[in-house]
Amino acid sequence: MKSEKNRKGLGLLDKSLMMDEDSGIAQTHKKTEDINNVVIVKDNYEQIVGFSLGDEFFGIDILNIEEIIKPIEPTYVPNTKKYLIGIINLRGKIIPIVDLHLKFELNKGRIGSESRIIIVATQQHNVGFLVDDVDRVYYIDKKNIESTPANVPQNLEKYIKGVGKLDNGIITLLNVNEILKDSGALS
Amino acid sequence: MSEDAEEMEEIIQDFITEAEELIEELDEDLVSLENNAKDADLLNKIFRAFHTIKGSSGFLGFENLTSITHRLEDILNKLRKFELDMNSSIMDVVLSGVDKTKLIIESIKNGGDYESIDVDENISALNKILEMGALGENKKEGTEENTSKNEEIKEHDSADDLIALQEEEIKKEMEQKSEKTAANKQEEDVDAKIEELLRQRTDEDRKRRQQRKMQKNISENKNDSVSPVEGKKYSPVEQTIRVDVNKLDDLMNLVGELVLSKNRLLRISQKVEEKLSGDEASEELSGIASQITLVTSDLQMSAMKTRMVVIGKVFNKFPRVVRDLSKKVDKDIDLIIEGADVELDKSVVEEINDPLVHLVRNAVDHGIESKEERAQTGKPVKGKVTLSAFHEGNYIIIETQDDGRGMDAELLKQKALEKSLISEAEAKQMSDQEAFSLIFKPGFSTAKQVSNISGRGVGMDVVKTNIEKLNGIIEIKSEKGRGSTIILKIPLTLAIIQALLVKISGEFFAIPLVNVVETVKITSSDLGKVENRDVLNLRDSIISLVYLGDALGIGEDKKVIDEKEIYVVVVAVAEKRIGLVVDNLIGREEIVIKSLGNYLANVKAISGATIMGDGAVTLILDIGSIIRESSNISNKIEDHFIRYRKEGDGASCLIASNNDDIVKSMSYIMKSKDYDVDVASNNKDGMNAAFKKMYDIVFIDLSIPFAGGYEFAKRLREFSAYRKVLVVGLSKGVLEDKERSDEAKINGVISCPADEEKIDRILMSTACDEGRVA
Repeated sequence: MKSEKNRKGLGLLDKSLMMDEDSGIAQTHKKTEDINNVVIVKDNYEQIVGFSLGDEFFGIDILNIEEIIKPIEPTYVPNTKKYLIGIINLRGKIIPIVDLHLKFELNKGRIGSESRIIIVATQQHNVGFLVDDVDRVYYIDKKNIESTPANVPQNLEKYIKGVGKLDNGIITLLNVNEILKDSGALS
Repeated sequence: MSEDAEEMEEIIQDFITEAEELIEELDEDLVSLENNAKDADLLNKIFRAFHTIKGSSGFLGFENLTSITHRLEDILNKLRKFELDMNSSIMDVVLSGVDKTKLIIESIKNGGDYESIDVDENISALNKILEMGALGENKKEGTEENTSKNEEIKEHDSADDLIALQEEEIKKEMEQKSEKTAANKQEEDVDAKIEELLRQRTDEDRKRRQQRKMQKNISENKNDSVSPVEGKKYSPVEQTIRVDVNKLDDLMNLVGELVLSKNRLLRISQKVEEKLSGDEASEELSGIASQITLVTSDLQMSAMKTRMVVIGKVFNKFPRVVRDLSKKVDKDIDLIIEGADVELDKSVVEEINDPLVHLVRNAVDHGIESKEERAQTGKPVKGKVTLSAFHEGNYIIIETQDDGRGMDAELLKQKALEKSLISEAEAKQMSDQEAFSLIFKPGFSTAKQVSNISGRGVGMDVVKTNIEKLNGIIEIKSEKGRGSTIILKIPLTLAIIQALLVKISGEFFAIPLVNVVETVKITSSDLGKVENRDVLNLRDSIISLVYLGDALGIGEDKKVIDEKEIYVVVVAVAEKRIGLVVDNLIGREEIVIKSLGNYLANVKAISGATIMGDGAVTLILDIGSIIRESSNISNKIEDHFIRYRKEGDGASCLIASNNDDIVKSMSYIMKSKDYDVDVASNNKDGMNAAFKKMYDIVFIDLSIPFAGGYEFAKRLREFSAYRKVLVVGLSKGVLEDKERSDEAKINGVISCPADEEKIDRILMSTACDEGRVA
C-alpha cells in the first residue's frame, strides 16, 4: 500500500478536492454546474470509487455501487466457488459476498479495521465485494483512461476495463459485469 | 379509437374467464349426466352453459365458436325436453364438441388464429344427432319458445330485463341472420350497448340470481320457462374480485418480512425477560410481543388464504379423464372424488395437476384389472378409483387409491433387474416398500407393450420430479390383489415453512419440516454396516446414514460428533428416505424462504436462505439434492468422532488474531515452549481449525473479526470438545470486559504485547484452578 498515505484523509466525495488547482480535477470543477448544491459532472468525466486490494489500487464506476459497509460475518454457503465467502443479510436482503483477493488470485487478505464490503448493483446482480480499504471518489477525465496495458496478468485481464491516470499513480478500473458473469455457484 | 379497442379487449377477457369457468364445470357435469341422464337440473345447467357461451361469442363475433356451441345448445335443448335420449355415442360427440370449444377459447386467449380451427367435422356430427329427432318440428318449437320467452320478459319493466331482452335479441340475430336489422333497430349504437352491458354486469348477475331464486320458490314450471334466459349458472351469492397474482405475491413477501421481524421481537423480549424478570416494562414488552405474534400469524393465514384455490379445480377434470380412458381400455370404472373443497396454494395446484393425471392414468390402466379378470377373482366387475384430499397440519395429503391388482414387489424387482436398474445384491436386500419405489425410476415400466396411455416409463418420473419440486413426499401402500394407494404429502404453501434447525460444524442449517420423518439420538454402538456403508436399524427398517457435513461438502476432516450422542434426522423426499447425522439439533422455527439471488442461482443442495430472529442468515437445505448426493459419499460417520487428546500427543495451540504483531510475538513464545502453533485470522477460520484438531490452548484476540473474541470464545465453548480447553484472551489497548469474558468462560486475558512471564503466569494459575472452567 505504497501510495496509501497520500490518499488518506480525503473522505468520500470530498468537494474541497475539486478546488485543488494543481490536480487535473480542477477542470472538473470548471465544467460542473452548481444547481441547488448538486454537483453535476459533465459526460466526459467518470466518477470512480478507489479501493485497494493488497498492494494494488483498483476502481469501480460509482454508478455500479449501491453502498459501502463494514464487514459483517457472512454465512458460509456450501457448493460455491472459493472466492464466494458467504452471504450476508443487508436489511432483509440476501447479498452474496465475493472476496476480490481470491477472485483475482491475489494473496489472501486479512480482514482488518480498514476492510470494507462494497455493495455493487447491476441489472441482474446485487453482490458485495470484500476489499482492503476504500479510499474516495475520483473524477477522472475520459481522456486519461487508457485501455488495459500489456503487463496485466492474464487471469485479471478480462476483468479490467482500462487504466486511469492519477496525479500520483494509476488506478485499475474494473468491469463489474465481467466479474459477475460467472455464477458463484459450483456447477 | 384505441380506447374502444381497449374496452373490447376487456370484454373479451371477461368472456374468456367466464367461458373457462363454465367449461371447467361442463366436463364434470357431462360425465355425471351420462350416469344420470334424466336429471333435469343438470340438463338445464349444461344447457345454460352452452347458451351463455353461444350468446357472448355471438355478439363478440367468434363465428366458429358460435356455430359449434349453437349445435351443442340445440342438442341439450332436445335432451332436456326428452325428445332425445342420452347415450354414450351422443355423449362422445358432445364431449368432442366441448373439446373443440376449449381449443377455440384457448386460441382466442393466446391470440391465435381461432377462426381457422376446423369445426366442420364436429358440426356435421352434431347435426347428424339433431337430425335423429324430428328436426323441423323442433326448430319451430325452439323459435316459438323464444318468442314466448320474449313476451314473458316484456311483462317485466326493470332495466335488467331490458338488457336480458337485448341479449335475447342478439341471440336471435345469430339464429336467424335475416332478422339482423331488427336487433339493430332496437339499439343503434352497439358500442354504447356493450359498455352498458359491462357496467351493469355484476349488478345484473346478482339480481338475476335473486330473481331466479324467488321464481324457483314460486313455481317450478315458471322457473323452467324462464331458465333459458338466464345466462348464468345457479350458484349461491358470492362476492369476489379478481386480483393480479403479482399483487398477492407482493403481499405475501411483506407478510414474510413481518414474520421475520416478529421472530426477532420475540427473541428480544425473551432476552429482556431473562435479564429483568418482574420488571414492569419487560412484562409489557412480552405482552405486546405475544399480541403481535397472534396478529401476525392471523395475518399470515389470511394472506395465504387469498392465494388458496380449491383442489376441486384440478379434480374436476378427472371424471372425464377416467371416462375416456376406461372406454379405451374397456374397463368399467367408478371414480370417487373426496375432499374437492380442500384448499391449497395456487402455485401448488398448478404443479400438482400433471402428477395426478399420471397417477390416475396408472390406476386405470395398470391398477384396475380387466372385467374378466375381476369377475374371475370374485371382485365386483366395476372397478373403483378414489381421489381424495385432506389436510394434515401444514400439509395436504392427496391419495389416489384403486381396488385393482396391487403391486407385486417380486415382479418389480425382476423387471428392474432385467433393465439393470438395480444389482442382484440390491434386489435381495430390498424391502417391499423399496421395491414399490422402483416404479419412480425413469425408464421403468411393467407394461408389456407401450400403448398410447402408458408404458413408456415416463409418467412416474414426472410424478417424482414435480413432487420433489414441491418438496413433497410420496408414499406407496399396496397389497397384492387388493389394490394400491399412492399418497402425496405436500406443503400447503411454498413461501413460509416450518423448519428444523440443525448445527453442522458451527453453522446452522434449516431442514424443511415436511421432509423430516423423525429425529433419533443414538450412540456409536447403534451404527451398523451394509456394504461398508453406515446404516441404522430403525424399527426393522434399514436407513443409510450420512454425515450432513459430508453431503454439503463441508465435513472434511472435521471431528465434531460426540460418539455417545449422535443425532440423526431421518428425512424423506418423494419416495426416498435417509438418515442425516448432525452435530446438534437446535429446534423448530417458522422461516420465510428467500432466494440467494441471481449470482447464486442453483447452488447444489441449497434451496434458499432465511433470516433468523437475531438477523443472521441461515441456509435452507434442498433435501432432494442431498439425498441424491449422499450415495456418492464415502466418508464414514466414525471419521467425524471427536478425538480427545491421548498421552504422547504433542502439545499444540491456536492463535486467533488478525494482528501481525500479536501473531508474531505469540507464536515465537509458544514455539519456544515446544507447542505446535496454528494461526487463524478470523473467528470462522478459528472455529474450523478447532473442529479439525484438538488444541491444548486457544489464544483469542478479543478484537478478532468478524464477531469479536468474546463471541468466538462463546461459540467455542458451545462445541462439546472444547468445554474444558484453556482459552486465553489477548487484548491490545482495550480493557477486559469481565462480565463478557466470564460469560464466554475465558480463562484469562493477557494484554499485548505479551511476554513469556505473563503467559507462564496464566498457564500456571489455570493449571491449579481447573475447577473454574468445569
